[in-house]
Amino acid sequence: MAEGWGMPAAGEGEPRRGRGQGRRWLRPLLALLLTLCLAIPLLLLRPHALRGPRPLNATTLGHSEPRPVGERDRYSTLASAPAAVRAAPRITLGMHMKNAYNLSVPEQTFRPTAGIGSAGRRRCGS
Amino acid sequence: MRKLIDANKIDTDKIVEVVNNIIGYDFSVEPDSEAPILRPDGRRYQLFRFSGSFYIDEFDLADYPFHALSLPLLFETQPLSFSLDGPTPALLVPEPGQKGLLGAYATIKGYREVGVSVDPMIHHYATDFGHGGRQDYALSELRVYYRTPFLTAFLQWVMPLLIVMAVVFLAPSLEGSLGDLRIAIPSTALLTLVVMQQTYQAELPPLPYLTFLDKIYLYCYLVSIALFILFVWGSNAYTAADAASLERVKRRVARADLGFQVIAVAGLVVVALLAWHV
Repeated sequence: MAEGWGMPAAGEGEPRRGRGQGRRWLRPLLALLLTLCLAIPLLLLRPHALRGPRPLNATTLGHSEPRPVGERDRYSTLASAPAAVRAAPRITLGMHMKNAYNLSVPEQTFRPTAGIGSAGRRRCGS
Repeated sequence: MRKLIDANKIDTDKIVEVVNNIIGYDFSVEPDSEAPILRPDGRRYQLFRFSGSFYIDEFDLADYPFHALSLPLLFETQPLSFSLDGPTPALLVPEPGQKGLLGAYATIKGYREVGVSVDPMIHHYATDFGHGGRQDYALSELRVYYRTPFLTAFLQWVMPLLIVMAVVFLAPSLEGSLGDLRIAIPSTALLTLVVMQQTYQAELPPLPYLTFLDKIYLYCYLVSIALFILFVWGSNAYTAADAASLERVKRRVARADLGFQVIAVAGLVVVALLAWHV
């Protein structure tokens, strides 16, 4: 019989019970931890992650390199707008959400049925 | 306002758009009357009913399953001539002191209604659409706030996890000599945890961050694997012990088991508190 961990050696009876044998499980655990310690930095520091996107295939259309998105849409309150803007003619809205259903969390959508009633106003506060 | 609309020849159904409507062909809008109605105060009024699929902009699931949700309807002036930086700007403001913003059926299953808000805003586009100059438009926001009921969410998503973890926490209480029985528990728990996590993650979009429940699950995985390692060690210690040292090994394994139970339970409380507050 082949000799292995926990197997009695040829010519021996019971396996020897020494101090080292009780910790045999430590070896594979340490090996696993060592592998993870090596694999994780290698995965994180893969060469193309350092250099940017993968090189383009010569047969594709040849896109330009992506650049930062930069500024995006912003929202601000009307109260913080300059007085000239706040004095502009206005349309007033009466809003009513009749129902809301089909909320889809994975799709980040919902379906309402609603109504808006709009009326014009000549100027602020009129 | 009427002069502005007439001068620019703007159709009344093209004055306002709902900017978070995402599926154009699925959007229906019906004016209640063919033309605006002239009111005694000289204002013209028209009612529109609409239905469609709308994008939820503020979507923070970090506290899932105890998260809040707000459903927005964003109304914005549509014509280019209504740009706030143009010569004929127009504002879009909610009627002051509006009541009855929500109908009887504006409820979402699984969520409790918290409140509603209406705010006049300005939408600053980051592009000029090739037109030149800034493109700012008036916007009115109707937002309805919901929250998951705490007890329901707890019983639905956290309680099953706690029951599985109770089995894991109690497993070290089994006699150390029952190695085969003990060692089967963490691996079974791990499998159960994977299935349970996949079940709730199927309800979520791909997220770039961990939710509250994700963090708890992560801790439970670590506890289960730590328990497996503990049991491997315990079983091997039992097997390797001779008659003289068996009692000593038994006490050592029992001590480690108790220590694990105390640390694992205390750790769960600490991780839950940290996950909630960080």
